[in-house]
Amino acid sequence: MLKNRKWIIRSLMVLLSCLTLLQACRMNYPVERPARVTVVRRPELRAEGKRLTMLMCGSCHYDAKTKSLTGKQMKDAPGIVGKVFAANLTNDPSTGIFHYSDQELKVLFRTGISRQGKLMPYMLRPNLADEDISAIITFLRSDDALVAPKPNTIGKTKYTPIGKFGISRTKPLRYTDQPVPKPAADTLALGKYLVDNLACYHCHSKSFLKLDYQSPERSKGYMAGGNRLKGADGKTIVTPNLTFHETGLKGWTENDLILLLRQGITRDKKIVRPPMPILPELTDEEIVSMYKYLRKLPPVENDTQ
Amino acid sequence: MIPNKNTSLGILILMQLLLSVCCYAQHEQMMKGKQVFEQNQCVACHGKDGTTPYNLSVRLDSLSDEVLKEFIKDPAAFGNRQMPAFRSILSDADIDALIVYVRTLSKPDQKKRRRR
Ligand code: HEC
Ligand code: HEC
Ligand code: HEC
Repeated sequence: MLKNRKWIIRSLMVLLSCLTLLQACRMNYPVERPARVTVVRRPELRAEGKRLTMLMCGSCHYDAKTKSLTGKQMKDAPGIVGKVFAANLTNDPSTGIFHYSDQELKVLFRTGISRQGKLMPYMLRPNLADEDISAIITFLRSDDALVAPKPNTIGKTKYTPIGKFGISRTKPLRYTDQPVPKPAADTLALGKYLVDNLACYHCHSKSFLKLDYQSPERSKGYMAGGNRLKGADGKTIVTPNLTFHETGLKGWTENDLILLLRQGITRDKKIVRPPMPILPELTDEEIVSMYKYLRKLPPVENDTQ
Repeated sequence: MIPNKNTSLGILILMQLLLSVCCYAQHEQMMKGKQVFEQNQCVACHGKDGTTPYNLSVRLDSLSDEVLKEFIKDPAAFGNRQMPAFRSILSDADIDALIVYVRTLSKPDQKKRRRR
């Protein structure tokens, strides 16, 4: 009898831990349908929308082979996480974002939850300005060749249990319809805005699991590098420290940063390796504002090389 | 004028000579290209054989030398967002040599030999 009881308790415990583990790996959420989601399309921003879309979405969603935003596999996702594919952003009815409403797109950026309730941490951009959202959505809905309907057959994201566990560490944010203004040109605030919305801090802080999407500066090891990523050759690549410490960017000039970000060439005339993206759409002014912002950050000693 | 035996032989020797000079020059270009390829970290993204992880030879045959040259200088202008722009670190002569070398990478027979 006693033996039997022990058994029952044991199996109960196993069952409970399995349940907690499953809950810990939560990937799906009820779809939030906020009463008010303000989005305005602004045709006058279409050209800027194209530049912003290539700049902010292109490195993951643009495929050079189809010459459009049909999406592609994220090769830098480690194998143990599973296979991750950035979605097809063309207006294709079956594989693209044809069925997304403008409001659902905005909810995705602000909360990280897709229209079907799936958690997508890569897509979390709570501080993306309304103006930029308008520009991007205006462009995505245009008749530009980059978003003309094209089916995409490369594959569907499939996470392993470990991947699910990792992804589920990020908690979605609540939607608020609070207006988010775009910082004025050539200010430290613009530099911070770009480091946030171009996701520099995702890779250049300590770990993807220790990011604070709402207040990026509170992320662990903010901009001091040390995140371990997968390089193109499958080997680990540790992200460099971008604070102005000897072990970071000390000695870099504005022009060094321009050459690196737009052309992918480092200060000592070496190439910068993937997954560091090359961002040819950045203007001088934008890079200079990021430079000034990075210079203002407290220098942190972290030799990652 | 009908050339006699001697002039024919002369012309043949001259042609042979020219050809070998050409071949030699081509070979020189190729060796230089190989060096540039390996020193400029093209290998970091294309591997020694030009295929791993990013295969560069898929549509190489349909690209002219001029286009290829512009591509290597500024891949972003061709929609490639991962390859650095080599405009600022390679001379035109380097790029010419690279193109000769890169084209040998897309020849299946040579690839086979390299793979062994
Ligand atoms: C860091 C890479 C990355 C960037 C940058 C990025 N995305 Fe994504 N995006 C992804 C991935 C990966 C997925 C698919 C996630 C999944 O399948 O779970 C995705 C999914 C989406 C979806 C959801 C599609 C669906 O099936 O529900 C939309 C819409 C989208 N992205 C739009 C954008 C837009 C617009 C931008 C630019 C503002 C952008 N993304 C920037 C990686 C990225
Ligand atoms: C997907 C991850 C990722 C993102 C996003 C990213 N980087 Fe990087 N970055 C890297 C990696 C990895 C390296 C190292 C590359 C190497 O060693 O060749 C790097 C290198 C650099 C370097 C060179 C530093 C040095 O000491 O050589 C600078 C500067 C830089 N990144 C700035 C930025 C900025 C600014 C942004 C945002 C616009 C950004 N990065 C976004 C991954 C990323
Ligand atoms: C940082 C990574 C990287 C480096 C370094 C790099 N490439 Fe590339 N290259 C790529 C990628 C990615 C592609 C696109 C491959 C594809 O279409 O799948 C590419 C494509 C190419 C192509 C094919 C162009 C086409 O449209 O078919 C050629 C040729 C090429 N590279 C030559 C070079 C040469 C020469 C070097 C060195 C001077 C070099 N690459 C260095 C990433 C790189």
